[in-house]
Amino acid sequence: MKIVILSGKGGTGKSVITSSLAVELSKEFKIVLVDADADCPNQHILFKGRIIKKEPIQASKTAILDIKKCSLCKTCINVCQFGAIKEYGKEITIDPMKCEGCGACTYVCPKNAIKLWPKINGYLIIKKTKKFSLVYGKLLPGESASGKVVFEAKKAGENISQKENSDLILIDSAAGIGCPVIASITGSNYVIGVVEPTQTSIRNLERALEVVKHFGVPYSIVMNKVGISKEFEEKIENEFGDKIIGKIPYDDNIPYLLAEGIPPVLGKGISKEKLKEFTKNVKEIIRRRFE
Amino acid sequence: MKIAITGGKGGTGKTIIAVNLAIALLKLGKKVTYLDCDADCPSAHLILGAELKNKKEVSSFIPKINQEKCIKCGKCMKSCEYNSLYQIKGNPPILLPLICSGCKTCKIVCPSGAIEDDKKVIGWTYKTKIKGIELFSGELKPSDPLSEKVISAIKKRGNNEGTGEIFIIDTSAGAHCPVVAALEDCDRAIAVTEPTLFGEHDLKIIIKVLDKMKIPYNILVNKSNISKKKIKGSALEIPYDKKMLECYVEGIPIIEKYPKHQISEKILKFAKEVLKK
Repeated sequence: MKIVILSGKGGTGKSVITSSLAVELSKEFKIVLVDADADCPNQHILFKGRIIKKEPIQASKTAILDIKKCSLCKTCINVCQFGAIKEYGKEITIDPMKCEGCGACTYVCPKNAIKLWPKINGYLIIKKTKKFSLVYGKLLPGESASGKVVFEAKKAGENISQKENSDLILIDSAAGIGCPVIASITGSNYVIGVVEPTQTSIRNLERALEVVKHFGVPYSIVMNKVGISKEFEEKIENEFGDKIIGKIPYDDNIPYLLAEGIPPVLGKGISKEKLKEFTKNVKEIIRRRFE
Repeated sequence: MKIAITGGKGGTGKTIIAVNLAIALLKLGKKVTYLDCDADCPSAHLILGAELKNKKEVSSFIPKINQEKCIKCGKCMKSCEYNSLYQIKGNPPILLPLICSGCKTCKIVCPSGAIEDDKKVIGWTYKTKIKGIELFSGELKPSDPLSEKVISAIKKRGNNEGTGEIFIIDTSAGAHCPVVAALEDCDRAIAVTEPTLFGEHDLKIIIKVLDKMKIPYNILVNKSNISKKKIKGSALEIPYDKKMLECYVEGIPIIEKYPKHQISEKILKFAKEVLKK
């Protein structure tokens, strides 16, 4: 079973919720944790262990121009849909940060001066922690293809899960609703949406859930930072009703725990018990699925 | 001048800072254009209390295969780096529109002119006047992955129609292509972070992106008092307090609700420094 944790808006507490689930669920099930926020992975900060594998991910290509062959005809500039090719003085340059590696320019160049080359978009890292394997993709800063890096991390997670005969893959998604989040949701069995009682969080969870519904994945909601707004807590209650399977109080001890790299469910904050209660509800959902 | 507000980690307060800074600049007599370049999760309008207006569609090319002209050679499928064309031998190709990037390579390689232009809607852009700010925003259509194309459309519209002396560019979380698209052509950036290991880790990543793009930046530590952690090199620290939380929850910029509050005054002072540079 693959469970994705997402929220739309960033900073609502996805990584806190995921780390709590990883700690508690691994007591009962065999799990694999996949950190699918390839831009800014964070779970490895909380879970210490030994890196057993680190390999480059070659998920896309990039166009390389041989300036000796280039006749400055600019045909490539006109076909590039991503604005990656520009003329600087008397030279054509391809911006590697904007090049999507589609290859359109390679087909139109009359001098055959452009070639597509595979490039490394990031790294896939597998770490053995005390209780479970942690898989994460690490996109090189500013790289494209974060969706493909997430896809590779998920695939690696599935392989480990099969080898270790695990019951559960937890997937901590990136913020937003774009390609890395879509890559997290596709093929998963369940989604847990994290929301905080603010207008921006509610609106952006709604947008994320539109994507979830598009892929037809069942979901539940956990409300984090309860206590910061009665008005929006009520709004969440009214909107999501019995989809809510956890309410975690706002806990100003969490940043202190995170500053020390301690998963909040293992700390001594006021949120601890409620985090545990929430993970019990998730266990119940998993058990029902396995029956 | 174009100032980007970015930070890597989500929820550090990019939009809150950007909105407050925009209002501070407005108070200092500047004309401000605000580009909300988080097309996945736009929220500046929510904090400014605006309803998005002047909607425009953003679309992307997708191929339409003319069945009569198609000679079933498979060249388009082989050329597609996104694997969005799929073909069973002897049949015309089938398009998986969701993963099509709109690169048009298939159209270039088709020997029989069988690929015609079609389009898919990938999102919308908006132009809204609110509280003296010209706000350009966008929304990615849920389930479509092309965030960076919507962001480019917001920037294009903002650059064409925006009249501000200062442009504030509010980026999304992360450090991949949508953020790069937002940062492009910015003169400087403010990297907003928070004093946690997550914040510090992700700040390092966004700084690498900014260095790569040769954009000078300042570091702003938001919620600076939520832990004892110190972030190196910060130009400004904004503490977290009840008034700030209240404004965050209600979606009102603190500089508007409590202009005399120490955080409001810090932001105003910072805005003055921004103008000097």
